[in-house]
Amino acid sequence: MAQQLSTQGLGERAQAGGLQHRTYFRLFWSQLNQSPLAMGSLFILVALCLAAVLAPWISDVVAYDPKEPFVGGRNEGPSAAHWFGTDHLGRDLFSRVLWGSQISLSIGLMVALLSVGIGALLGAMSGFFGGKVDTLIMRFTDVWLNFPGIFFLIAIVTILEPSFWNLIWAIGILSWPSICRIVRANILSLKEREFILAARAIGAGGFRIIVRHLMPNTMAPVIVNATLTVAGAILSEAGLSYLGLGVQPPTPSWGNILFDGKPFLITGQNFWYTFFPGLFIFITVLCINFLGDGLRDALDPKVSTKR
Amino acid sequence: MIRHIIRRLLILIPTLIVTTIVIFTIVQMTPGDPLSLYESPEIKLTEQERARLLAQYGLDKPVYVQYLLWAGRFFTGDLGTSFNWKKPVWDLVMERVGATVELAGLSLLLALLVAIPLGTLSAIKQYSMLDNTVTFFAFIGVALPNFWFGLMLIGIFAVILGWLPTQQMLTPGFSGTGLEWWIDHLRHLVLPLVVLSTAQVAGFSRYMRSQVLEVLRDDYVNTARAKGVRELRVIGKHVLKNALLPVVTLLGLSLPFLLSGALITEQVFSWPGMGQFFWKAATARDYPVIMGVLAMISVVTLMGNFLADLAYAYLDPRIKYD
Repeated sequence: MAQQLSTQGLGERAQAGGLQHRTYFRLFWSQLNQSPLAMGSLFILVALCLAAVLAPWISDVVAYDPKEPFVGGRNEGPSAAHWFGTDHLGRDLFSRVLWGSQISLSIGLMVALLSVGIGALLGAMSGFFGGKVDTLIMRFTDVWLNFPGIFFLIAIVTILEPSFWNLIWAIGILSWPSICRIVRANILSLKEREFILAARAIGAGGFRIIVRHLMPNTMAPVIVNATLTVAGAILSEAGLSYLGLGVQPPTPSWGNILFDGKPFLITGQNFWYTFFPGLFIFITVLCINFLGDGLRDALDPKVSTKR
Repeated sequence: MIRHIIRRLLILIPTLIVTTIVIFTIVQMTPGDPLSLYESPEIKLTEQERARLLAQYGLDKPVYVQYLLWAGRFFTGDLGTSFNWKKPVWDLVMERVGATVELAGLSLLLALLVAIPLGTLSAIKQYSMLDNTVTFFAFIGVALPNFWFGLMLIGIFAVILGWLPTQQMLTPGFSGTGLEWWIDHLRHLVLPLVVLSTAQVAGFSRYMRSQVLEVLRDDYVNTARAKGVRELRVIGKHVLKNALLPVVTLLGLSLPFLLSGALITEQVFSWPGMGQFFWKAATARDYPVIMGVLAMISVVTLMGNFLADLAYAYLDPRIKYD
């Protein structure tokens, strides 16, 4: 009771002194606000996601159907009618790149979800139970980290047929180990802390301790890593599509537009064909990495954002 | 040390077994008929031919027997025969491994030669103009998709400017020898080398920077400075030696990354190495090649990690492994 009274007093004094009550989210937001790179990246990414969601409407109003051939001439450069030019079938490239962002962004997000799911579960089990479970999971993680990514993706995707969902689970199943390791390392140090002892003392079970007490405290590094996983997944998807093993035509994705455009680049017929889809991959990945870096600083109270 | 080596070896064996099981399982997930390669709308296999082929490839036995047979052959160096090329997988690999080793090895060397001085300088001059520039370009280097970067370089330097060739290792029909041959070959090597090195430079220079920053905080650096040792000598002798140690481990760990990058780069520049070979085999569903190459690459990476670990233990006398 006395404790409560004194904190109440503190709150009143803080408000009187012009200080605001700050929630964890507010604190995090104000930290993130200090990094113009991260905020700029966040803005671009939000705009990209909006464009991807609104792609049907945008291409209907200001552009063309992405699958419709001969809306312009073949292999035209950028112009007022076709902002990114046209491809070898005379399809509008702006529209194709716009629709392609749906594939890339959704695969990126789904892969991050999947690998956070697998990684957090295995990492939490490994860190919390320790002993044989830990050794087994960690050995398994080592095996996984040794796989040269793209070779395995190619094998899995060609064996299962390239498709949207096969890409997600193939890339997802390959990208969980880093999250698993981070969660494990965090839980190993967290579980020795007093608040876990307190939870045990009042009789909380293993499951409850993991879900209610340990996992929320590992959220910060997991969020940062999940952000970077999105970037990695977008690169993997684009790489596979570039090899002709991604989402199959005529559905456009950033990678398969590159794959289609390569011959026309080499023969010098259309430089812009491959320029724009790649530029979008590059900018998206760059922004995600900047955002991830900003999140790392904002979510970690130990790292000061002031240099 | 001996005990450490033995313990690492004992860990290596189960890792190898699990790796090969995973590879075998992936290939087993194949939907459809493994003999479909022998069939076409015109040619259908008779029951007898079918049975003979199944027996020839050991496909009539239970799955675990198939795995044991395959693993047994793999570890004795027999990778089977390619469906597509009708030659032993081992021979096919040997024909192409040189091109990949050349490209990947040189790019690794180039990346280290650029990244180590760059990372060291940006750590010494932390938050300077130089450091910020290096950091910025490191972000770009990591985010740059190597296939797009390669295509853009082809577009600019080969198509628009016409300075460099775009595809293959040599100009088709090239018959020069000696110096001429080397010049032609090196001209073909420039672009793929730049593409494959860029992401590595970005990664290594960041790592080097953080290592040097860490070592700079150590007491013995202060001691050396207090004794009046010149700064250049402090950096060269005390800091670099210690900061470079962990890079050895990183080299082992970056092997999968390097090989993945090499595959895409080879594809962009039609470089006739393992990556291109594997891609062709995969799109043709050439299972013996897929399994053989996956297993070989996994073994090479495992060995790379193992050797890097031993080298680290050998180089750093502070580490006791008992």
